Amino acid sequence: MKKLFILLLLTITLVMPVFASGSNEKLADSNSDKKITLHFLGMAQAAYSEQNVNDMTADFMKENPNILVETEFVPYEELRNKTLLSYGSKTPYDVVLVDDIWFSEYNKKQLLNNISEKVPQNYKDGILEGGWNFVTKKGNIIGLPWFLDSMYLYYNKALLKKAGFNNPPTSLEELATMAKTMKEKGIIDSPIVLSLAQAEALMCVYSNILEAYGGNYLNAQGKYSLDTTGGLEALNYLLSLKEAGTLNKSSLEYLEEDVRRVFSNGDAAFAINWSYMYGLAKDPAESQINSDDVGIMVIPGAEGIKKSAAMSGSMGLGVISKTTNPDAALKYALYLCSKKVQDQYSNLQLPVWKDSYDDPKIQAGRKDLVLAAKEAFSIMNARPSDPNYQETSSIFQTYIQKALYGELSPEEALKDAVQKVNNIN
Amino acid sequence: MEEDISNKYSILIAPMVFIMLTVIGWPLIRTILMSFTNEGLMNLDPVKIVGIENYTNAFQNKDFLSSLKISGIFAFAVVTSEMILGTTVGLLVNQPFKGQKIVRALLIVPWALPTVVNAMMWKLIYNPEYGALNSMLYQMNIIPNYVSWLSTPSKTLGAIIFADVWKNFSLVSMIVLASLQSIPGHQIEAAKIDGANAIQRFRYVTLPHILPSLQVALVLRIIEAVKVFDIIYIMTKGGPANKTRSGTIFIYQEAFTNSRLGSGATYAVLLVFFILIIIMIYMKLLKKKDN
Repeated sequence: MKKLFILLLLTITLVMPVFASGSNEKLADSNSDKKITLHFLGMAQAAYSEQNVNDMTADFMKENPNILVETEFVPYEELRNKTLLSYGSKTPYDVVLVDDIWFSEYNKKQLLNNISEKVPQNYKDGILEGGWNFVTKKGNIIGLPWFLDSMYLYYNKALLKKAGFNNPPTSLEELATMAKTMKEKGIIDSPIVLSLAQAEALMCVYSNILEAYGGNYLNAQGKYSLDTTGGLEALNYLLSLKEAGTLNKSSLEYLEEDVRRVFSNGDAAFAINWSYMYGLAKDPAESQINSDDVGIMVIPGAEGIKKSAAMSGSMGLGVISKTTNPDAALKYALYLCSKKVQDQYSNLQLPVWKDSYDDPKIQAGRKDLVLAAKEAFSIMNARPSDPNYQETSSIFQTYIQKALYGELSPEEALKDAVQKVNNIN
Repeated sequence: MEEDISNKYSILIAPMVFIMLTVIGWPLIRTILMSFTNEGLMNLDPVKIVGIENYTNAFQNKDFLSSLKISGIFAFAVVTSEMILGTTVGLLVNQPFKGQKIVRALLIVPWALPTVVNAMMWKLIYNPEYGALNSMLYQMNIIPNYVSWLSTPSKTLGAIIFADVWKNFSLVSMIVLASLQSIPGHQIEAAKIDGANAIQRFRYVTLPHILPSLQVALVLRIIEAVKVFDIIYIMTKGGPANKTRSGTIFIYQEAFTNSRLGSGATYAVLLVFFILIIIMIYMKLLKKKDN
């Protein structure tokens, strides 16, 4: 019995700390120090990079010597959980980076300040409409658009030329045919590379293909109906690429950075990725392909359905409702989103300001990207604005992968996924 | 006199008991209480007591049962491999040979590596484009093409098990090695004189000596293996298609991704019981053997 007790204690000691958190504690009331300290939670990514954000922050602190900003960066996969968990602690962040799909959830949980009245008019007029759309919930502005983004189709012009193609594909079907031809001619073994790992990246790629087929996650009643509203065609398309052997077989474990590396090594003729890849794929220090051979375009639509497709992957900045320094926090967020700062750091990330797109300095060396972005932003759709999006997405990721691995037929996979998702919503 | 000593011991141990009760006792009670509620990660509505609903749901949840199965397979494969490999290596490095001390020191390295580093390292080794494993196997003509180790459902769990065994077998080796030092030399000599061969010497002299230490290592490794989280989370996050989603990853997702702390707590409590059952079976088997 004694032995059993010791073992019980040992087991509990080892297992419980995994879970021993999450209690809701009250926030310390105020900060009486003259010098204000803000905590910013951002994302470890290529654009804006940690260095970029730290440089922006240093400039902000120079202009505002009474404000000290401490920055912290986590991978995308941890960003939401870290925000939510810190909210329950004594030291929540003051300003956080928020993916467009999380704004509904954060709004429902009253996590962000309503800043409708505090956003200057020049921001409201100057920033692209698409930006305000995703940070506005129930008529209230709860965030500031920091970057607008969409996935694009990248192509290697040299490989296309080698296969006898002078122009990029105009439809998804043509893309598949071109890839098949390139494989048959022995130009490249796996012409297409996508980020289809069990992560949000998979949902982003799938959402774009869904959009290309004119599909929708929801039906007219607002219920998930992917199995009957175009989702099947999108899934079948991805499956057909895999079965034809034109899809890089490691795509099912790839995230965006893996896709970038494969494309930049010249190991793929086509890739779907965010705009940040454009600058890096053209950078000789980061890429082995000739700068002039990097092509970019809006993802083509399915034949006879759409000319092109784009799904939003934008992010915004939010001021946490528990902050003890809401004005300073908003000041910092406004600074990061200001035209001056965005233009200055536009190397890898396009600004959210309308006027910037006509600025020759911004266009220099990346006219193709700017043109593609202009088109994408005008047709861009969004993933469902659902307070349970994270769980919903996780279910879809699993079932889409099950179909791609052949464990379930596409019909069964989507039917099961929709049923599961509707049970939680 | 004895009572005095006993009181002194009680006083000396009191701070430790207090710390354990605070650090372990409260979270434990909180988790158990939480498992009977619908508490969310950021519930704006008041928390409701739902009785045993979370528990009945848990037993009907195929995903949870499937994640327990994965934890079970992982633990069985990892612990079995580590016990066999660890014991073998422990016996080998106990033999006198040139460079024995260096080998013994090197043996600690994998175990001393943080799991996060180990997971990152193996993720690079398994990389389908430039990973060392593919390159080596391809050049040795063992595989005709590069393999996606972490995105082929039939291979992924095996690849993670291999990475975990590589890191942890040395713990078993070190325990065995320490235990081997306590075997009196004359017993081995006597067995040799009696004509026992190497296998017989191991079976009748060495094994009985190292068995208690192996039992401790076994229990520790079972507990660690069943609650595996970090290595899987870093290498695959439970994918592909949930093929490597262990019990702890399922609990983490339920509590923090799906924001359901109440049912997450229920699964955590059930996992503890799952581990306890394994240990109780093991203890009973041991008791039978002792008798």
